Amino acid sequence: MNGKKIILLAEDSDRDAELISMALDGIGISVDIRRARDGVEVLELLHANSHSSSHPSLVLLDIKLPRLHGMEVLGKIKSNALTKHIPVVMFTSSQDQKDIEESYRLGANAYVVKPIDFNELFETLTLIGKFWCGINKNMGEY
Amino acid sequence: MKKKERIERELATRAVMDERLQESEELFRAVFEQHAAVKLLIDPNTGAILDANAAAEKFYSWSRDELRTMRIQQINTLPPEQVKEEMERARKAKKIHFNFRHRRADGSIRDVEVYSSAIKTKNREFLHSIIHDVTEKKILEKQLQYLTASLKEQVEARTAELQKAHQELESFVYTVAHDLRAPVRHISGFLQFLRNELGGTISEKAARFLNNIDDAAKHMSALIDGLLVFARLGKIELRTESFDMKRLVEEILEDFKDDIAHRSVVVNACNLHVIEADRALIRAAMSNLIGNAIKFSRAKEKPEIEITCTPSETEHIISVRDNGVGFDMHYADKLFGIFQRLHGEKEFSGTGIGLASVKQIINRHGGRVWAEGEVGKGTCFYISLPQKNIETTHESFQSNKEPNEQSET
Repeated sequence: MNGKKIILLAEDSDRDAELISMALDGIGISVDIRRARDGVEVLELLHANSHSSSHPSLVLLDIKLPRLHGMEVLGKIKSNALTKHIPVVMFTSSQDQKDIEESYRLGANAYVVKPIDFNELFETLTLIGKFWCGINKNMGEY
Repeated sequence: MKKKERIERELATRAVMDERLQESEELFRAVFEQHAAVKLLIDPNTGAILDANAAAEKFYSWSRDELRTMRIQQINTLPPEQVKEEMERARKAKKIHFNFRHRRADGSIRDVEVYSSAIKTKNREFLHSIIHDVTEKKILEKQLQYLTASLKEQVEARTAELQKAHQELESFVYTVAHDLRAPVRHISGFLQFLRNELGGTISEKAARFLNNIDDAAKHMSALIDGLLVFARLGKIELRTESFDMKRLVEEILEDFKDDIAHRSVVVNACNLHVIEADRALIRAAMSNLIGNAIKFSRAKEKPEIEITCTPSETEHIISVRDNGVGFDMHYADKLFGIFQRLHGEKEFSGTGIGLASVKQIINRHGGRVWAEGEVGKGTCFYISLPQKNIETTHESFQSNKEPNEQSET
């Protein structure tokens, strides 16, 4: 609406959150990053802004989250009529096949393993950011 | 006179014959009576004990007179009908060796082996039974069985324990490696931001330090990735399929085509067959060996690599030979250990996980890995896959062997 895309970053690690935020700042798209430190906070942030206009363009969701596990958060987002249209990208260090399958089963829009190398991290986030929050808004919807 | 003489002679002959007959009877009586083995003479129709020897008296603690009034059914613990059936078998010589349990006068029961044969005279039939007490032997046998079983149980329990410990260790390695990723990502990431912050204002020395940190983080990241791959190899399920080894090698050579062209490596791949194995894993193993061969022969003026397969009756041996730097056979057993490196970091890059992974992959297939080499002359790596995993173009060998999950180490 008013230009800036919102990305909801669900990440319990401060260092990862800072890295991801700084990387997203550097990709050349004007984004507003809102951070949730645990699973409950993700849902609270989503429901506090229940007007779809203030919904985030993207949720970057870690799996190992305190209070409410990332999988449960994903299930709740995707089973709620108000939020299920919001794209959710699982952004996690887990490479477990079970996590990958379960995420897609619950309706995740993508599953991306956090790269160790910063350059790779930056490139990955650039692609994610451009895809989900880029010029072509419709690309990100489904 | 003549008649009298004849009669006398006849009488004398008869006396001799009588004497011989008596002797013979005594002999056979003694054979029965005096022998140390327990013997019974039984009427096969009724089971009546007709005679018993001294050893029988001693064994059963019944007197011969008592035994002579008894039937074998009173001694044999089997039901009377069954005893009768067994006697019938012995009579018809269908069976001569029996395992029974015999009761004695004091009520004790002994395990016995009985040899019983039918003996026929003109008018009568007997069963001649020789009874051998095997109670002690049976007890020993049972003890032996018990010990064998408990030993087997112990070995199985210990194996299960070891397997569990091994699995725990593997998942521990996996978890640790996994958890190490985050801090390395942070080091590498914040280093990048630090660089951006500092801009071009830093000294040459400071720039070198930053580069060193960056290189170290990159190396650590490669080690962790390798460790994760290695740990995963231990737990993933094999997906066995038939595939053409020749195609697979061609694919790998395609991956390395720049290196091959750049160093003018002569590659000779021959005699490769269709094999049955986990294609993705064998590809990883072969890619590693071929990559090594290219890497370690790059200094040669004419690098040569030969990839070939030699079938034997039990396994197929695939070898990758190069004419590169080689290695001292003294270190042959160190080659496949994790984090083992025979060459300096500067000389040849690598994490020391590649060959350990190759070994893990081939072990998972029930095969073996080994290497031959000579410093300065080259190296030859061998992997073997059990024959069952291989289909040769000619008639395939018969093999009932189950694929071995874990080979001997």
